[in-house]
Amino acid sequence: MRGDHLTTIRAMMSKDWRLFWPFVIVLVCVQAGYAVVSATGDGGALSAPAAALGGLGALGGLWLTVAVVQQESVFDGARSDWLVQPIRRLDLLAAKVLFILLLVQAPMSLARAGIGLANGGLALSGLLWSLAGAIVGAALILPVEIVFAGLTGTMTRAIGLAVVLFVGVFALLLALGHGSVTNGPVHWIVNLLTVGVTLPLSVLALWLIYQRRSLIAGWATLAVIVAVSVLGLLIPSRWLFTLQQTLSHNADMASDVRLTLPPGCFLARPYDDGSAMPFDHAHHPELTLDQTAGTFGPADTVSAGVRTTGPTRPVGPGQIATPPDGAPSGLQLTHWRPREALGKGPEPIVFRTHVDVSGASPNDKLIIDHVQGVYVDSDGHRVASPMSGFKLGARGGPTGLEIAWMASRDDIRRAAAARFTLDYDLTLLRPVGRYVVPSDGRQWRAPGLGYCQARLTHGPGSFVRGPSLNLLLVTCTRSQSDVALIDVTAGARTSHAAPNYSPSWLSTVAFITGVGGELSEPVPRQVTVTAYRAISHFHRSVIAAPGALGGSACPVSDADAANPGAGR
Amino acid sequence: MIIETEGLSKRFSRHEAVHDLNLAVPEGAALALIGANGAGKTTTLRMLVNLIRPSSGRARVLGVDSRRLSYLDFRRIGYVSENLTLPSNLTVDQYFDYLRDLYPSWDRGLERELRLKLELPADRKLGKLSHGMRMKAGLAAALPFKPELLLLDEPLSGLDPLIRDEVMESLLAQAGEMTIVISSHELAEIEGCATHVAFLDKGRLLFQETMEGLSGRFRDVSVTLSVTSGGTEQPLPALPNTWLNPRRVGQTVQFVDTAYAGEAPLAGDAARLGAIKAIDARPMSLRDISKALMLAHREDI
Repeated sequence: MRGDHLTTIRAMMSKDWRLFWPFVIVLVCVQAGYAVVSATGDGGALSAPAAALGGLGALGGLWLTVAVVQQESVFDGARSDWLVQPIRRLDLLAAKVLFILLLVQAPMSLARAGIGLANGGLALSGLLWSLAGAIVGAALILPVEIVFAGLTGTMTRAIGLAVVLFVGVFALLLALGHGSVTNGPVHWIVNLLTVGVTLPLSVLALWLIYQRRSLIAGWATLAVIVAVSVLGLLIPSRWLFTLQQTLSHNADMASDVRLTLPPGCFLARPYDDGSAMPFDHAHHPELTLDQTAGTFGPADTVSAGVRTTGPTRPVGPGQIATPPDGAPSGLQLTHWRPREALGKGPEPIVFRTHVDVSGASPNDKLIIDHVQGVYVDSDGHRVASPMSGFKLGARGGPTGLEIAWMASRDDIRRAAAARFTLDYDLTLLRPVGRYVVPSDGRQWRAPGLGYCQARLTHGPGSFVRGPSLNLLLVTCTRSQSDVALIDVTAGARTSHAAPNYSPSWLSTVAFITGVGGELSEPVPRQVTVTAYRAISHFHRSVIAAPGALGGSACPVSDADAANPGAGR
Repeated sequence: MIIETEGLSKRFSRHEAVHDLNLAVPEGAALALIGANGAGKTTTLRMLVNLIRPSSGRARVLGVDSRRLSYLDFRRIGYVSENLTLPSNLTVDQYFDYLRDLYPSWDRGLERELRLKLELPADRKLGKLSHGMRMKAGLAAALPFKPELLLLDEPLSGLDPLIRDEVMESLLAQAGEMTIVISSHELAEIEGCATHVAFLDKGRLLFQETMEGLSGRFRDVSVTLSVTSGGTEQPLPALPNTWLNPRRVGQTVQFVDTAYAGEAPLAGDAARLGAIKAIDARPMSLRDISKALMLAHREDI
C-alpha cells in the first residue's frame, strides 16, 4: 500500500477518533465493567448487572458502528460533498473497518477474553477466534449499513428505515404463519445463503449509488436485498435439511438406523379445568388436551374438556404437560396452541405414537424434525396429503421417538381405508464429551466444546413462568467446535438445548437449557453436560398398516391393531 | 478548455433541470454562471464534479470525463457549495488537520493567511458556526491546496456585505492562478472577478461570452423623442428583437440594447421611433444585464 493511502486512512481514522472518542471511552468502560462483573460477580455473565452491561455494550457497539459509518461528514449520502474530496473509496472502507475493529469490536473481544481468563483460562487462539469473528461480522454488516446510509442520508433516517424494515418483515412473517425468524438447527444455511447473496448485492448497490450516481437503482437493489432476506426465512426447513444432508451425509451410519411404527392412537378431547393455573394466561394461552393414561397402543376414549392455559411453558406442540392439581388421576395432557387446533372441529383427535429405533448406539441421540403425515391408498396414491392442519410434535430420545399430532375427525374418517405414512428428517448425534460443571454461576472451560456455566435461578418472572421453582440455567458457548447439541443432567432430571448443526468455522453458538426442580428439593451442586456431534443426517419414511392409525372409528379395529406398521 | 460540456442534460423525473448544455470554459477563466432560481446552475455544477450523473450528454473536466473523475483528479478540484456539509463535531483546527493530509499540495502558509483574513475561530466547532462562517471555512478549505479548478455554488448566499467583501477579496487574490466557475445571485460582487459569463434560463444556456464582450454589447438606452413625434400614448412601432423590455415613458423610450455597436448604428435603428431629440446609452452592470434578461424571458412566457 502506498504511503498516500496510509496517510489518507490515518487522516480519516484520526478524524473519526476526534469525532467519537467520548463514545469509544464510554463503550470501553462498559465492556470493562461487563468483564469485571462477569468474572467476579455473583452469578457470572448471566447475573443481572452483567447481562445489562453486556447488552448495553452490544447495543452501544452497534450504534457506534452505524455512527462511524454514517457520520455526517463522510457517509452523508450519495450526494454528499465528501465525494468531491480526494479519498479513494478503498481507503475509506479500510479506514472505517479498521476503526470499528480496533475501537468497537476489539474491546468486546477483550472483555470476552477477560471473562474467559478469569474463569479457567482462555487460549490465545480463543481471542484470535473472537477477533476473526468480529472481522467477518464487520465485513458482512458494513456494506449493508453503507447502503442504508447512502440511500437515506442521515443516521436517524437509516436507523428508522432499518427499524421499519425489521418490523415490516417480522409482521410479514407472522402474517404468513411464521412465528419464528429461524429455521431451527439448519438456520445457518439460510444465514450463509443470505449473506452470500446480500453481500454482492450490497456491493452492487454501493457501486450504483456512488459510481453510477443512481439512487433509484440503489433503492431497487436494497429492495432486492430485503426480498432475498425475507425469502431466505421462508425457505422450507425440509429443503434446508436436504441441503444439510447433502453436505454432511454419512450413509453408513444412516443404514444402521431402523425405525418401526407400532400402532398407537389416543382419542382425546379438550380438557377444561377452570381452576387450573390462572397465571400465564395472557402470555401462553395454550389449548391443553387430556388423554388416556397408559402407554402407546390401541386407544381408549376419555371424556375431556377445554382449558386455555398450561402449567409450564411447552417446548412444542404435542408435548406432555403436567396435570394440574385436582386433575383426574391418570390424566395425560398435551399442549397445543389455539392456532394449532384451528380447523380441527369441536372435538379434534390427538394421536400420540412412538417410533422405535434400532441400530443406533444406546448413547446416541436422534433428533426428529420436519415430520409430515400422509395417507396413501393401496396403490401408493395420496388420499390426503398432507392432512389439513396437521401439527406434529416430536421429542428425540436414545431409543425411540414420541410423536403427537392433532387432526379433525372428518379428516380421519375420509382416510379410513388408507395407510398412514410418516416422513421424517433425522439426525443421529453421538456424544463427544461429558463435563461436570459446578452450579456456581462461573464460566468453566469445557475442552472440545467451549465454555459452560450453570447458575441457579428461581421463581416466576425470571426465565420460567409458573410457580416458583429452582432452575439451574445452563449455558454452554460453543467455540471452535462442531458440537450440535448438549444435554444437561442435574440429579435425576435431564434437559437438552435446541440443536444447531452449523459447522464449527461459521459461528459461535450458545446452547441454553434449564433443569428445574421444586423449591424444597436440594439444588445439585453440579450438573453434567454431555456434548453431541451430528454424525449423520438422513430421511426416513415409516408406513403403517391400513387403518392402524386412523379409521372411521378410533380406537382402531382389532384387525388393524394386530397388524402393526413396519419400518422401511 | 478546462471544462467542456456537450449536450449535457439532466432530467429529474418529469422535470428537465438542464437541457442540452454546451459550455466551454478556457483555462484561467472566471466564469460567472448566472440565471434565475431553478435555472439549473447547481445541477450543472454537481454534474461537473460527478455528484449527480447526467441523463445524457457528457462533460469533460480537466480533460477527464466527469463520470470518471478519480480521487487524484479531486486533488486538483475545489468545490464549495452553499449546501456544504461539514463534520459538525470537529473544531476548525481539527477540520484543517484532517484536510491537510488529504492534499499533498496543501500550502500551510496560505491556509494560515486565509484563516487569519477570514477570522475563523480555531477552537470553535464547525457545527456551532453561523452559516456565513461555515461558508468562509469551506472557502478557506478549498483554496490552500491550490486547485486548478474551483467550483463555487452560491458561495455568497446568506453572507452579510462585509463578509462577502472578505470572501471575494480572498478569492480575487487567487483568481489568476486557477479557473473559477461561480454560480451566484450576488452579481455585483462577482462582477469584479468574472472574465466570462454564461446565462442559464430554465436549464438552457442562452449565451456564453466574455465579460468584456457582454459589457460591450449591452446598453441601457433611453431615447428622448421630440414633441412633434406624436403623443405619449402612441404604441411603439416594430422594434429590433435585440432590444429588450422596451417601454415608453412620456416622450422617452427606454430599452436594453443587447447588440450595441456604437452610437451611430443605434441612432439609425432608433430613428424608427420618430424624431430623436437625444439618445443616452449607458453601460450596464452584470446585475442589470441579468435582471434585464430575466425580465425579458419572464415576459416571453
